[in-house]
Amino acid sequence: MSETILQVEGLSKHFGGIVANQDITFSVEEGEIISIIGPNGAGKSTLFKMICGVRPKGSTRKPDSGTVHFHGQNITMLPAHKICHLGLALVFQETEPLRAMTAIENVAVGSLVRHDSYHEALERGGHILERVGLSHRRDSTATDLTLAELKRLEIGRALATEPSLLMLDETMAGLTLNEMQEALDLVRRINREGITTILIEHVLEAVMAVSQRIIVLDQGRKIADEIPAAVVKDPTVVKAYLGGEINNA
Amino acid sequence: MVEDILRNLGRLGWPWRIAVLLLVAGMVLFYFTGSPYYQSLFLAIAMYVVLCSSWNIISGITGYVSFGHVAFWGLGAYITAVLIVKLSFSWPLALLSSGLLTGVFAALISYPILKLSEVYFAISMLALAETVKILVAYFRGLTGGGGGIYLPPLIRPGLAFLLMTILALIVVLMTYVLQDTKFFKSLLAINNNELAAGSLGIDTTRRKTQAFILSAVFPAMAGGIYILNVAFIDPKTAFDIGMTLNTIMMTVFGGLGTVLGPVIGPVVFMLLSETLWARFPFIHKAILGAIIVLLVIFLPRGILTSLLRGVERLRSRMRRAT
Amino acid sequence: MGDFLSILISGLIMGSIYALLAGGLTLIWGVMRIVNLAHGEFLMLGCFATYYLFGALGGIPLLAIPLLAPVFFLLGAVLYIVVVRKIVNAPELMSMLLTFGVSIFIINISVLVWSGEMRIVEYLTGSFEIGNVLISKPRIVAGAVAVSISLGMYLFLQKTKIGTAIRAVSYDKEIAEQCGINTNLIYMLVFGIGTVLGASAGSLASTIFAFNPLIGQQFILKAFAVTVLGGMGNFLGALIGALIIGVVEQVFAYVLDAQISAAVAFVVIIATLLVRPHGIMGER
Repeated sequence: MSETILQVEGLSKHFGGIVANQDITFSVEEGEIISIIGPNGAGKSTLFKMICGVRPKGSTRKPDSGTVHFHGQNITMLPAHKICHLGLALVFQETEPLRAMTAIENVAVGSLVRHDSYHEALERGGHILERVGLSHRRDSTATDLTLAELKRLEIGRALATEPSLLMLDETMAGLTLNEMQEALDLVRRINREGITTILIEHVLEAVMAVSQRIIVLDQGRKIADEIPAAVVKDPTVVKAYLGGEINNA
Repeated sequence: MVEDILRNLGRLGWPWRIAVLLLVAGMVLFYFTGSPYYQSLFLAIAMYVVLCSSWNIISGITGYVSFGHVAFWGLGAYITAVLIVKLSFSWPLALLSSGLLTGVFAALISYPILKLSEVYFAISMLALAETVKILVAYFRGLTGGGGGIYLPPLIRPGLAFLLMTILALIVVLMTYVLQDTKFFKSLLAINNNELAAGSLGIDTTRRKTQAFILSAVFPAMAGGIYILNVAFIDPKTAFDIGMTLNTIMMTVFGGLGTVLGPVIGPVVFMLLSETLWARFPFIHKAILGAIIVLLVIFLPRGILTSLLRGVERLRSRMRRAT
Repeated sequence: MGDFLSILISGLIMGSIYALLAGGLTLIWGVMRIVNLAHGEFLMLGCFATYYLFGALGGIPLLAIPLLAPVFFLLGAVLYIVVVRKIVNAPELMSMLLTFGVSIFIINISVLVWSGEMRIVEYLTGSFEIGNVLISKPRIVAGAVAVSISLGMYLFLQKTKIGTAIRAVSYDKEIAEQCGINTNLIYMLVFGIGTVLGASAGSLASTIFAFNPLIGQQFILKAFAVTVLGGMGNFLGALIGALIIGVVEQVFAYVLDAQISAAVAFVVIIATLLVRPHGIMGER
């Protein structure tokens, strides 16, 4: 039936004396839409970056131990661009647009991983902009877009790489309630088209309605991995969020 | 990517094709009839067009600004000379080999040096150029040391002029044809946001290395043509930081990252230089310095881009008015 | 043994002058993110100012330093206000290009005014004897003064309120502003101080070397090597790095060739950036 698309096993990462991630293990089935949540400092972003192989200049985001398998292939030590080729696309927490390039150009660059012709990439880019509702901003420079538009652009750009798995790091951050709803609708649409989706958020409400399963991190460890209804009642989860942001207005 | 290149070629409208043909015709005419003074002036201009266009690829388009560009030029000159003098190469072979070998050199150093972030890369390239200068002077047996190396006269100045302008034409055409291709768009992505580019499947290391090698091969051959023409070079001339700085300035002046910027920059500058300033060398350079300062403050995108934007803004204003 | 000592002392003296120059450079970089390619010209101007003042000072060039300090501070402040201010915190390429333009301007005006001939400030002859090593007096004095100024500057940065404000801005501009620090003022201050440090290095260098308007170009790359080795923005790092480079240079000059020793600075830059890009004392 549906296979395991992503298998994370025993992933750990330390920074000096700080434990960012400790022995994280979970798996994701094809077609699922799951969320990874946790209070600030739980280690979500570190986990995300380790899985995706994203390494800013001069830093090492390789895990200290553990493995990540994607479609059965070990991607733990692979560089970001190879992981993208394999079909894992990501959207950063801090928007990372190609600043001086227009919206269509941004998305077209994403298409280049699957197409050799830039001309073709531009065409596909046009379709994608429609899908994410940015056609009217096609020729605007990335720096002229609003935050919500930038987030949609980045999702579009990730879609352009024709992924089988899409990971979104705190995409809801900074959005108004309306914008958040629109973004979640978009994510649902994408998932229905067959793209497995993982959302990383720290506001539980945002992802309750959309996730089939929620994984909860706290202080670097996984403390829950259940359906949303069960997670809200899980005493360890409630304790982790006590005094935190679980009831965001 | 090939289809993109062909498409770009097809897009060259008739006015441009005619201009290029006229240019080639003019070059050939000049070769036969031009005065030595003008031939050497245009040779110098063509040489800077080669330097600026090639520098533009790694620094303008890819965003890795190198302050050591002269290293490739000097190496090309020296390799050409040594191959001819020590290994009895024919000059065409020596010229092509200098391009090839300098490209290999660039490939070798690219791995460590392209890992550095912008400022450090710039400074390292500067340091590299200086180091190469010192090493070349040190290995006296091979290179003639500080005294330099002499070549027998092998080509007529007219031929040097022709070769240089052909080289310039090749580089500019190549830059034009590679616009809107996967290669250049990947480089642009790296320039805009290297982190994002990697996450979008672009092998940034490979692309940067390709751009770097490309930016090394052409100045090397220009250096080769130079020494065939002038028949002498020494470390001081071969690795003169002034050449790097002129290149940077002319390209920025013309428009960094554009196709024609590296053409307009040298042409305007050299012509102005010749007609106005050659008589007052130090004032001329001081004014140059002042111009750079003014440019950076007021026209950071260079003359060409600013002009184009100005035109764009005028057009949109006119559109809104009607 | 005598040779070794002589090399060491020579190296330390040269290093102390590099330290002064690089100190200014690293401050400007650390606080304002500006790569000041014109920094060598401050040294050059310091040389010339001392040279012309020397006669008027009754033959004690060291007096030039305190006298010229306010002048050069003002020069730096004016330069900042008129030109440099526009590119603070802009991409570093801009600052490299801009300061490069400033450098060319200053050098060529200087050549016009003073011509390219070499000068030196003749002051103190003879040498001190340490152990069985002879060190020329001007060198010893220059070295001692350079080290004193550098240490004084270091203490200023660490212990005074303004010094702390400067360090705060270099760590995090926004937080510093939130604490009520007037960053614009700090920038101007730092540029002025950097200029003074460079000019002081020139003042001292003028008693040791012959110089002409082009001398700044020779020193600037060494200053960069020191800054990179010590860690961009780290004043103490610049001091340590300078002493190291000074000594290493002298060792290479002795063992190999004076020519090759010039490459030391450059190799240091490349090696440092490849192995430990944040330098000896810099943080990641």
